[in-house]
Amino acid sequence: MNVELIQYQNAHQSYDEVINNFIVRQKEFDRVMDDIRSTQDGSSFQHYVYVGKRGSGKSTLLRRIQAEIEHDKKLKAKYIAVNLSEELSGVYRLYDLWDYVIRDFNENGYGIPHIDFRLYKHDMKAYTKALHLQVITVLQSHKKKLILLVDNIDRVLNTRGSDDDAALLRELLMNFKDIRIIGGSTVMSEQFWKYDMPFYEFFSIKRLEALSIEEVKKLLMHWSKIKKLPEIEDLLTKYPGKIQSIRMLTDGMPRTMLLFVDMLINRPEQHGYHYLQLLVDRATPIYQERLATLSPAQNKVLTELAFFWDAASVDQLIPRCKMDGKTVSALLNQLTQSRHVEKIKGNTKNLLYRLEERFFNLWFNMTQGGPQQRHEAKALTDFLEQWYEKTELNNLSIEFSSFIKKGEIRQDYAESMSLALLRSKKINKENKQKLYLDVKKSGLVEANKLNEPEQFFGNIEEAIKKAYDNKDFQKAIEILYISDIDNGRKYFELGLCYDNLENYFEAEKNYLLAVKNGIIDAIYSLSIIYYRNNDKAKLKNLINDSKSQAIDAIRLFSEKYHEFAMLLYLYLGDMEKFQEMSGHYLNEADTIVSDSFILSLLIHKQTNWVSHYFQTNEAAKERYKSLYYVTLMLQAGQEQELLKMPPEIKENVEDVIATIKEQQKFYYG
Amino acid sequence: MKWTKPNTITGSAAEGSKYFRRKDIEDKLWHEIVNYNHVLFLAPRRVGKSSIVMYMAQNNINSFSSKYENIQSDSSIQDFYYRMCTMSYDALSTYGKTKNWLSKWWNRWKITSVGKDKIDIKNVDIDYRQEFFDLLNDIQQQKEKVVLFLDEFPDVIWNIYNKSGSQDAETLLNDVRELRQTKSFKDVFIMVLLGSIGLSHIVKKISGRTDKVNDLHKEYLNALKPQKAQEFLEYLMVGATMQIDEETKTYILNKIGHFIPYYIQLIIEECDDILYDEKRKDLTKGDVNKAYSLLLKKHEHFQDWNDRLAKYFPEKYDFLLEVLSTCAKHEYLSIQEVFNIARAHNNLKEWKADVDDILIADGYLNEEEDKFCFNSPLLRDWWKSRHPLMEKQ
Repeated sequence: MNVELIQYQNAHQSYDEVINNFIVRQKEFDRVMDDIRSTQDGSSFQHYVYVGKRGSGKSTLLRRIQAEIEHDKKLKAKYIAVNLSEELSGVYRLYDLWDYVIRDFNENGYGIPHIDFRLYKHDMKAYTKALHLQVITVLQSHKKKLILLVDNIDRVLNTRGSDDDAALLRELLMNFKDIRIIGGSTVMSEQFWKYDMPFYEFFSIKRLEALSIEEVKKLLMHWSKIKKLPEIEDLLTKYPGKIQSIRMLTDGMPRTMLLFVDMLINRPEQHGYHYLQLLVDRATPIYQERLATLSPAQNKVLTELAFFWDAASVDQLIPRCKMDGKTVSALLNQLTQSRHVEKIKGNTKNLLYRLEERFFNLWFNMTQGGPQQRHEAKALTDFLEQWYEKTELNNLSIEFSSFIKKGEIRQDYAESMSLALLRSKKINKENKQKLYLDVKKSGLVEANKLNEPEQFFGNIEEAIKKAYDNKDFQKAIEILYISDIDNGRKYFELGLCYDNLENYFEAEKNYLLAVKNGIIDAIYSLSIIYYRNNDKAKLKNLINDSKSQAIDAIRLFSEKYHEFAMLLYLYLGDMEKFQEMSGHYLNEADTIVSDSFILSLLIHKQTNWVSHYFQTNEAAKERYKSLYYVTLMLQAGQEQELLKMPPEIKENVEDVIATIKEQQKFYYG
Repeated sequence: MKWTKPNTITGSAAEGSKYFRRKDIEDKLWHEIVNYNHVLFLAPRRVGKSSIVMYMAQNNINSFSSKYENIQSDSSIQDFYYRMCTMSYDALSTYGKTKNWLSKWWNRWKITSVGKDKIDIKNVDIDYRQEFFDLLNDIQQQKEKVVLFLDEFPDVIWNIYNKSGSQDAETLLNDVRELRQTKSFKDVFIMVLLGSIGLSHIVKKISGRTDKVNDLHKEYLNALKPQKAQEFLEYLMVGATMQIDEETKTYILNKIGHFIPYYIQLIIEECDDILYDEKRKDLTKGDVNKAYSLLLKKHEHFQDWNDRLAKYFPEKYDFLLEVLSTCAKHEYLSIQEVFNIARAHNNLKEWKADVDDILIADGYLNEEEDKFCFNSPLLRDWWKSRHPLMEKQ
């Protein structure tokens, strides 16, 4: 779809195109045309003003009326339509208006002579009347009436500082029945409703309200047809909710709405923030034009109000705007009249205000915000929740998480979007936790801007434990990264998780950090890794570290993991240490060591130690019957005793022996 | 479905087929005119003065040449008398008995000419006031009679006062008095001055007294009487697609309460819009209620009417508020009731002036037969909901 064609369609379209592409505002058009057609000669007629926001279709409607008059032979015979929408910026006073009408007439060959304004330099009112008389003279001599289409008519009526022009225009319209004005206005100017203003209740005011969903659909179907873009029609069936969202966000204003549709069709590959960013970029010319019409003071109030996102009271705006209450109220009233802002009656006497078109507010937050990400996030959350279905939003969150993880996202995007998604109530806990973890880990968003993890995880320790218990080590890792538990423990637990995931590289790294932070258990876990991997060098380095604190740690480790420490020394060949540690450990009759310890001793070829243990410890012999016979089998000259081996354990004994052999091969080649 | 809308007109003055004749008023005005009385024709805005006199100007009594113009942009004595000259010329050239003298008179203005491809330039060297008085002599000699209907005349006095000062404004007021008091002028030239803001109110501001305009014959345009309102409603509906049964017509009129054609037409247009949307012909009471609510919603500036009083008349606000609120509640308020309210507010000196100069002059209320009522039923109902009065025990 050609966006330019949609946005700025009026000026460059032929009358035929204008007629064919005119889809919405049909009722307004039909009504005004019925009125024009049924107006009898000699009867008075109604002047109209269509009031609606920028992009609501005023210019299109005026252009359509013009096209109809040009197109319909009967109407053309009776009327001349002059559309001053394009020239309006040149209208400074009422005489400019007539001057432009004359120029238009002359372009169509009426040959109206030029009047030198200098002749009237002392009486420009007379000049205005003279120009008007020229127009009237042409109309009457050609037996025609003029339909003067004036967009932004409020600007003409509010000509620079006095009511004189407005009074004169009303006088001319009342005294001469040759000109009918059909205007457009973004504001319900006080000219139209104040009792002491010339145009009090003079125009029939027709409001161009937001398009209904049926009108929106009709418009889209039309575009689908004439642009030969079936995908637009698809949108209607595939994403009915999205069409409704567009309507809500844009307050049903056709121009901004079509922008959204264009984005939906042309950029389906875009999601989330990028998508929104593009939308915002495309909307910028429209909204900048909207802002350009405001005074600096109005702009200030609008900006501050936009940053609230939610409705705000005058009292809330006063400190932000640094203006007194009366001024803020007056400016808000002006902005309400111009329909930038809507008034909301709360429960209390105080009124609340907010920007009427939510996407405009969002655009404001995203483009005018500066360091306002919090405001932006608030706005974004609302946008996302309206724009996406729940499932879509969750998918978006997952997708965004992965972008974050891959580092494929700019920091400012990351910040806004993360905060927005994390605020959303539509995203489930699990996805939110994941996103939070990824964002925190990425460091793309300053920690103090993110909420406390507890908000997403409840009690962090419990969350880690739960993940660990559920063997969701990856999740446990993520939570660990963002947790604020002390570093030693954090590294250790990270090591454990990686260990479980058999990511020994990460596990070792974290265990070592944990060791450095005095975690004895990490020495155990680390040494298990080294041991399992038969990495004697590393284990030696660990166990024999000469640093005093390490020595202490090793001592403590050896005490706590006595058997394993012994085993390690054994494995490392530090028999002196092994012996020192074993002492009378295995000789005491009532000591029951673990089966794995016995097995390890056997792997490390300590059959005698084990045999001796069994011999001195009848209870152990009975408890580890298989291991006893394994030991016997690994010893020479035990055939007689082996005859006593119960047949039911024979298979088990053989399996254990096979394991031992295998392990011995691993450790000793 | 071809849809024909009711024959309403809510912005411009009603002319041609849009004009619902107010013959009673026309007759009253003609009665004064034929008796050579200058008239001050008063009514709030949107009540329909202009429509009546436009019709009169085009359907005059034989002996008079007539012309209507809105003159609200005039802001100097020159402007005003230039206008008098051109209007008189137009009136006489359209309706006058003989034209030759008129052409001669007109052509004395060397530069000025009106017509195709020509330019009308007001000659600054001409004293149009003098020209006009000269013209009156000519009119008298030609045995012509001219009646001019000058819409928004008080605005002109006010403009002249603001731009040229009180002396010029008073000169014009004196002239107007001279015109109506000098027999030679009076018998050939009548002015019907239309105003939506009280002329005496302005004159008092300018000169401190009202005697300059006291001798003008005053004619007030009131709301339609119930029977006329019913006829008006029927007039609007001739040929319209929308159909209204008798009961609903009465319901509409009761809803409005005060029968100013403008407001009757507003609600009819709104009803027509609702039915047009739904492609239905028959209007129901529910539609009327809906239309009325929509109208109230559309007229979103009533708060300004309230705020204006609080802002400009803070000391009188409580009094004015009670007058308006009581009036809104009871639809009409007698002058005795206003006095009663004034007493409670210790405002026994200025109460009537306050009502006249503020509430009537600014378009809130209208006075009819010693009773006050809101001009706009919409404003009345807004006021009623905004400022409800406590029920008396």
